[in-house]
Amino acid sequence: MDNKLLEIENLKTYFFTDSGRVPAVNGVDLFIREGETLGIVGESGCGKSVTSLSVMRLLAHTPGRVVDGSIRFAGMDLLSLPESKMREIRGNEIAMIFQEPMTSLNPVYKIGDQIGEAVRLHLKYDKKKARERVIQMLKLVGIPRAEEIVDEYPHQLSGGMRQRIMIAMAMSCEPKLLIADEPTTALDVTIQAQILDLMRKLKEERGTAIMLITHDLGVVAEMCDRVVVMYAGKVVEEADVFDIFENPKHPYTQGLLHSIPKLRRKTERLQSIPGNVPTPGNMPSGCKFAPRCSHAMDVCREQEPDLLQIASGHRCRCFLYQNDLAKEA
Amino acid sequence: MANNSVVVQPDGRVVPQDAEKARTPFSEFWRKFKKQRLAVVAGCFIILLFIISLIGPYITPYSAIEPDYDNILSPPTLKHLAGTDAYGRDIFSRIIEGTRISLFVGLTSVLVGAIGGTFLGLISGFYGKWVDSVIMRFCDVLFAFPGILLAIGIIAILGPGLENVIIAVAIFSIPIFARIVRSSTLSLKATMYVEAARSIGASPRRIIFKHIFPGTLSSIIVYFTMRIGTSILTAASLSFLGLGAQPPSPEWGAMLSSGRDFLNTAPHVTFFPGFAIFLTVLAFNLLGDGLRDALDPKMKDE
Amino acid sequence: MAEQLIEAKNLKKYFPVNKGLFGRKKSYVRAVDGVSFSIFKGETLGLVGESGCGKSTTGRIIMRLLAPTEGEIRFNGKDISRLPDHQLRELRKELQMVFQDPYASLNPRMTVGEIIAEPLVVHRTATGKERDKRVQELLELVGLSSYHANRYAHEFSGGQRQRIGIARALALHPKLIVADEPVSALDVSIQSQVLNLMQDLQKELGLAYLFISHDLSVVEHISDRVGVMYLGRIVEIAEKDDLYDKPLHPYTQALLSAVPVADPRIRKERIILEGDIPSPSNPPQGCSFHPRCKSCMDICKTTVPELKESEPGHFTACHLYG
Repeated sequence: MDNKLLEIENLKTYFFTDSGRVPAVNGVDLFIREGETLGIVGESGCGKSVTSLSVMRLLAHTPGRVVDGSIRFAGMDLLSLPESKMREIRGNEIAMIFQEPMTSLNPVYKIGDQIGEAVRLHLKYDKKKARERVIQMLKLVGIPRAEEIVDEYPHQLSGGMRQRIMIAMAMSCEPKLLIADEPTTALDVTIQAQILDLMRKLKEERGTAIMLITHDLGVVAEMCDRVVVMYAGKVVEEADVFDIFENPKHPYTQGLLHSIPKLRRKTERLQSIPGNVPTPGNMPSGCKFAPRCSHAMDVCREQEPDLLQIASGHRCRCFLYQNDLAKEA
Repeated sequence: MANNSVVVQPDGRVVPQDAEKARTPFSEFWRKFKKQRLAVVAGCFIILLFIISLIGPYITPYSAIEPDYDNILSPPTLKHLAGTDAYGRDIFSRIIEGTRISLFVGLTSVLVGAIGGTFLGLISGFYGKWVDSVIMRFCDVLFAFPGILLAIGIIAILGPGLENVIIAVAIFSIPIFARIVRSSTLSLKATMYVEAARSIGASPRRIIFKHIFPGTLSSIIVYFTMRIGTSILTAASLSFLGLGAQPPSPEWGAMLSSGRDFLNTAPHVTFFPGFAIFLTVLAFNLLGDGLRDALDPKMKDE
Repeated sequence: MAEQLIEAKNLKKYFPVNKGLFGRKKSYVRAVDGVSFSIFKGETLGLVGESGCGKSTTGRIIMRLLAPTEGEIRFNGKDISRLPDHQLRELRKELQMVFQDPYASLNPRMTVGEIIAEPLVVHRTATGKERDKRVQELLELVGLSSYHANRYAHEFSGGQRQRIGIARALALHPKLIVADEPVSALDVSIQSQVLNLMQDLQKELGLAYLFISHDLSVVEHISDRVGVMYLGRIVEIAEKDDLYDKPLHPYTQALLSAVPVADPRIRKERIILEGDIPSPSNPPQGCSFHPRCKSCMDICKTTVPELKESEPGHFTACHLYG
C-alpha cells in the first residue's frame, strides 16, 4: 500500500514576536501513508510540535503563521481550506492528543459530555446515541466502570485514565489520522506501557495512521514504521524504523542514538553531542548541525545541504553523502 | 550572521565567540518599558514635577505667601497665568510651591507605609503559622475601616497638621503592602531556588533578603507608584477638610478649599489646583500601569 | 568494604491533610513509610520509582530539607535526624543537592558568579580574590568558562544551567550529593553530557551520589547499587547487575519490562500492570503492591512484607521470598 494520506511539502511556520521573526519550522517535507505510524523525533525547539499544530491549523491563538509550503490531506489542500471546512476535518478526520492529559480536559464538564460533544458535532448523533457511543469508546480504551465514568469529572481520574479518555475522544469519530504529541511523556513507565499497548491495538484494529511526536527513542522503536528526525526546524533524516536504528546516516541521528543509555548494555561512558541545541534566534549559517558535528567540513559551514534520497526510502540532509551521489552521477 | 558565533572546543565545549552584552534584568525592563508610550510621557511629567519641587521657590514669578491686595481674584491674564486668589496671591506660583508639599507628603507617607508593610509581609509570608495569623489579622482590622475615615480618626487623635497627615496615610498603606508582599513571598518561598538556597545552608535572614525580597520588589515598585497618586489625593482631601496643611500654606487641597466660596465668581481659584491634583494623580497611575506591564513576569513574551 | 557515609533507618514522613469543613479530621499522606538504606563513600545509590512513590521526599529528608516524622539518619556515624538549625548549617557543607529543574533552581536575579559563590559567602569559607578564584575553578570544573560568571542564568540553555547547579553543589567540597532527577528536564543529547560530567566528577573528587530518577536506563547507567521504591517503601535494593539481571520483586519485574527499548527488532514480552498506583493517603492493606500483583497470595493482603536479604546483598520486600 502506498497511498499517501498526508503530505507536507516545504512547510515554513514562523513566529512573529516583538523580538523579531522566529522560524520555528523552516522547510519540512514529510508524508504519512494510510495506516502507518510515523515517528517524528527531535529535541525541544526542533519544530516537531509546531509542525503538528500547522497541520491542524491550530496556530490562530499563537503568534505563529504558516508562511510557505503545502499540506495535503486525502487530496485536500489543508492550508487553503476555509475555516468552516477545517472544523469539519478537525476531530473528525484528523484527531489530536496532547502531552498533558491534565490540562487538555475541561474541568467543569463531565467526561461523557466532552467526548459526546465531538460525536454529536461530527457524526450528528442525538444525545442518547452519543452517550452509547461514548460508553462504547470508553470500553474500547480499557476504562473500567465505563457506565459510571461517563458521569464523572476529569479531576476524579488519574493521569493514565485521563490520557485514555483523550484517546477515546480522539478515536470516537474514527479519524484517518491521529496526531499524538508526546502522548506518554507525562506518564509513569508502567502507565506508558499501558497506553502504548492501547495505541498499538487501536491502530491494528482500525487502520488509523498515527503521527507520533516524541523525544523518546524507545517509544519510537516500539511503535513506529517510519521515522523522521528533525533538527532546528528541518527534517535531517527520514527512513524506516530499522534503518534509523541500525543504519543511521546523519551525524545527529547517530549522536542521538549513542547518547541514550540503554538497559543492560553496560556502557561505561556515554557518547554525547557537544554543545547546545541552537535557539531559533541564533542559528548558525550553513548546516544547522555543523557547529556540533564531528564530521563538519568547510562546506557545511557555508552551505545548507538538501534533503536527498540516499537509498530506497531513506533520505538524509548531509554533505557526507551528497558528495558520493555527485561522484556517481 | 554573527560570523559563526560558536566554536566547538576540543573537549567538546561550545563557546560563543561574540562577547554579546549581558542582558541584565534592568535592560530587559527598559526594553519593555520603552514601548509604553503613555507611561513614558507620564514618567517624564513626574520627573518634571520633581525638578519643579526642587527648584520651585527660585523660579516662581511672585511670592506664594505675601498678599497683594491690588490684585484680588484676578482672572488668568498674561501677568498672572492662573489668576490670583482672594488675597491677590499668584495661583500659578502657589501651585509650583505646592508641588513640593504634595510630592513630599505622597512620597514619604507611601515610603513609610511600604517599608513597614514590606517588612511585615516578608515575615508573615516566610514564617507562616502564628506570626502570619497575628500580622494578617492586624491588617484585616485596618482594612475594615474605609481609608479616609481611618485617616480622619488618626488625625482626630494626633491633631491636625501635615506631619500627622503623613502618619495617617502611612498607617493605612501598611496593610496593603503587607498583603501584596506576603502573597508574593508565599509563592517565592515555594520556588526551587529558595529550596536550593536552604540546601546550601543559607540563614533565614539571607533567604528573605537575598532571594525573596528582590522577587517581591517588582510588585512593590508598581504598587508604590500607584499609591503615591492615591496618597496625594488623600492628603489633599484631608487638607481640604482642614485637617492637613493650614493656610496660608500653598498645599493644593487647602487651596481648593479656600476657593470654594468663590466658585461662581472666580472658578479659576479652584480649577487650577484641582487640575494640578488631577494631572499628578493621573501621571502616577499611568506610570504604575506601565511599570506593571514591563515588570510583570506573567506578561513576558513567549 | 568501603566506609558507610549515610545510614537511613526506618525513615518515615507523613504529611498531614486537613479534611472536613473545619479541618478537624486529620489524615496523613504517607509519602515515605519506613525506608532504610545506606550509602558508602564514593558510590552511587540509585533510587527509582514512579511518581508519588516518595523518592524525592526521601532525598529531601536525607538533605534534612524536611524533618523525618520517624526514623534515624546517620551521617558518618552521627545521628543528624534531630539536629537543630544552627548545627544543620555545618552539615550542609558535606551534603549538597542538585535539583530537577535547572530553570527554577537558579535565582533569576543573580548572576552565575553570585549563584556559585553563594555557598562560599554563606559559610564564609572564602572571600574577595580567593572567592573569585574558586568560582572560576568551579566553572571550569563543570565545563563552563570563567567569563560566564557575569551573566544571568536565563541566558544559558538547560544543560548549561544544570552545570551551574552542579558547580554550586560542589563549591564546599561535599561528600554526598543528592541528585533529584538531574537530567529529566534535559534534552536527550544534553542528558548524556551531564551524566558524563557527574561520573567524571565522582572519579575526580570521590563523591557519593544519591541519584533519584524515574528513568531506569539512566539509573542503571550511573549507579552502583539501585533501590526500587513503591508507595513510600523500598521494595527491592541490590547491586545494579543483580537487580537488572535478576529482578525478584514482581513490581521491579513489571517496571523493567515496561521500559521501551530503543531497538525495533526486540519485541519483548511485557508485563502490563493493571490499574493505577494507589494514593499514598490511603494505601492498600498488607503489601501495598498486592492489588496489581500477578503473584498475589492471601498473606499479601494482610501482612506488610519486610525487606529481607533473599540473596547476598540482594534485599526484597516480598512474601514470595520469605
